[in-house]
Amino acid sequence: MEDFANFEIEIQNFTGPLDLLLQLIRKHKLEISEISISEITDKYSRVLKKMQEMNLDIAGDYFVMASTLMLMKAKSLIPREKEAFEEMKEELIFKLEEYEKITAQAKILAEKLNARQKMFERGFKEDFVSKERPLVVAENGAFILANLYAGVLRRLKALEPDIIKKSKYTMKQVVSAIYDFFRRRKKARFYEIVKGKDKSYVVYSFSSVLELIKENILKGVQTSHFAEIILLKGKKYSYKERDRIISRYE
Amino acid sequence: MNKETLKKTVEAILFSSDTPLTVKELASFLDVEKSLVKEAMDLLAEDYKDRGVNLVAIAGGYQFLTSPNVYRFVADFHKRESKHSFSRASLETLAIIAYRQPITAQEIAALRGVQSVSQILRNLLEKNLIKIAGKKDVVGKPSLYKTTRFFLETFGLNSLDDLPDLKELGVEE
Repeated sequence: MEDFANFEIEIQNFTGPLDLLLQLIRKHKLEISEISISEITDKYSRVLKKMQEMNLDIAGDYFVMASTLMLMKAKSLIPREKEAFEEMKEELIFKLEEYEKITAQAKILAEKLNARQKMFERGFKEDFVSKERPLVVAENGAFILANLYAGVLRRLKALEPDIIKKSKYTMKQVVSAIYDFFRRRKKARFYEIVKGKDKSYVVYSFSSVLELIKENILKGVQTSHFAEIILLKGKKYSYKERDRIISRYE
Repeated sequence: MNKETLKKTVEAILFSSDTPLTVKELASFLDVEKSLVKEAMDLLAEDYKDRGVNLVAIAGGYQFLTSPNVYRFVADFHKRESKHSFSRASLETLAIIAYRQPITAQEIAALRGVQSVSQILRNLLEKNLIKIAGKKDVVGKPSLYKTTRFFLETFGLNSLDDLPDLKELGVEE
């Protein structure tokens, strides 16, 4: 029981069941190869129970490990299951030893990162993303855009009831608005186009933008996957093309 | 181009760049022998060794970086803390990829004892720290993950060989 006080602070720090096991082993200064399954099962279950009491959101992985441990403990008590038990124990020990290496490797990386972060390059104040090369939307563009769109929706926090109703907008309106946007400028962020607008407008704009990209009227550029999309005028950008697109929806 | 001019040119180009530049890149751009560019870089690195700005070997190239000795002041001046932060889980995942690449998502999950690492992988892909480098020739053809050059830059590594041996940490490989 004495170890619970300390665990409360560390509890959220486990990266998974192996991590929890390893920390328990270290805490009790045990050798991985010499663990007692029965003892470690009890300790593990207690911490898990404590986590549940604290109403932590516990991933299923932890329970899978708990049941594996309990199964092993049960097998260890049945003489004819001895061989199966030894096999499982060996596997668990192997996993723990592998995992121990990983934590050491992660520590190395953390140290490297820490050392690197004490040195600054020119223009280091720029964002992480802006340093990466722009990525022109390719075949998987629709997928990327769909994710982007989901992000936009989240950002706009558009809260509308789930009733399907006739939209207040038309494709004509939205496409014209996008064109109006480009009258004054050469590039725009998708977010700017839909800024302050409701969900339905975002949906219309998004599908319009997809259509316009497909027709080479606009070009979509991203600095990375799921990043904000930047729209540029495409090869076929013209008012004639606009009217052609609009006429499809009339 | 004589050596003195070459050294100055290399210095100027490196100074003006915000990413590491390789000997190869500079040699082919300046149309001089790689060994000469390397020599110039080594001389510069030596010149800058005890300065506020150092020439550091990173990601297979060289880059001017402020000295870690004056880190606190530079960071405070720009009111800037660490640029990137990683959760332990994502650092662990990155460590697995760094040390065992190429590796599949399933192999990573097994090593970490969790069911899925897809969310973390997506995050690392998004940050350009890892990339998909082909498919493994087994059932389902799962993607193989590798670290990127940007990973080396972020972690201040010159190459993957720079990752320390686990033995140095007293862990058996």
